Amino acid sequence: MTESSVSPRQATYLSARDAPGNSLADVLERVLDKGIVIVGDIQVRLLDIELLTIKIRLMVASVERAQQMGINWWETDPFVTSLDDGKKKELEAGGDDAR
Amino acid sequence: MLDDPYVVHAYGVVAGDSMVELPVAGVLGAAVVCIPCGTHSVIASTLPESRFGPRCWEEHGQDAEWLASVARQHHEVLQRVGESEDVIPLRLPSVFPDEHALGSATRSMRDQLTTAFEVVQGHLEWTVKVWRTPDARVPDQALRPATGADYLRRKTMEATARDRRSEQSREAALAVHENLAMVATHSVVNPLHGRDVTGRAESMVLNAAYLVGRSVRDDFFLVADEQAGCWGPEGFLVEVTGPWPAYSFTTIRLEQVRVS
Repeated sequence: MTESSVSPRQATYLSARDAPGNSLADVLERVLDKGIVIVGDIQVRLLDIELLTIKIRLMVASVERAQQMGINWWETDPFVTSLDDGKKKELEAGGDDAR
Repeated sequence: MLDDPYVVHAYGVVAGDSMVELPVAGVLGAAVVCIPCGTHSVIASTLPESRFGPRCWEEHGQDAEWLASVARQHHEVLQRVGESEDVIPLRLPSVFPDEHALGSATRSMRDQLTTAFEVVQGHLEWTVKVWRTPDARVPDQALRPATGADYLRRKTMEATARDRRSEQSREAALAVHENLAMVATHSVVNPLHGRDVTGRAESMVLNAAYLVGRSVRDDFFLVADEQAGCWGPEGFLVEVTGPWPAYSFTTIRLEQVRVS
């Protein structure tokens, strides 16, 4: 049962040099430490990697969308409207890692 | 110039005698230097404390743009160095009060660094993801079940189809991973990312990292292509990203204390 119309005979190759889109999440999860880290005498808590990736992707999308449409992207971005309310509120609140 | 308080940011560690070619700029545009620390040398930048010190990190810990920007710049330095040189990458945050503190931390980790270099020497890391394209079949929602029995029958068929798909995804993930792992020296399977993180229509079924000897890179690609050819007709995509410095196969921290 063939479900896809595309049958690649090769793998897709992406350079790790560019970190837009697909490899941004890969870069962030490799480079950023998780949880709480002591820097000097200060406790630093970094934003959760998954949430960070979502936010960045949304920021990129929002600028393009806003330019195209000239209206509040919250109302029209199909991705955002498909997020559950809890996560949407998190993003709208501007960012604590509520998890 | 350096009368103002400053910090030293460390990107990664290379062999002490390496003649590594350095990129011109690193985090926040700072110059990149190589600081000898005995057996090993550290790739680093000096920055004003006000722009990159502990308090700055505390303030920007939840700042997505700042974090992503710094992460990318840090990664690009390591990427550049790693293309010609074995490098042990360090994770962020990675700041030290001065070169002396950095040197001291590096020297105290000499044995662990030596072991880590033995692992990564002559290798690069490659990520392989396998994606499943969405089911193209449209369920006949329009066809109302004539009876309760019809409804149950349809539900059972859908559940069976879903189970079959899951089983097939597991099969594909396992096959791709096992074949690639045979060419790699080490491998690690990572958690999958949901579609809300990837923003893609496809579902991720495998997210793995492989430490591959530089000299067998082409063999690794050959296997990836074979697997892509084998599973492509079933609706799977094989995606290879890299090369990376060996982030996933080293866990060196220079004098950072981890809480949680």
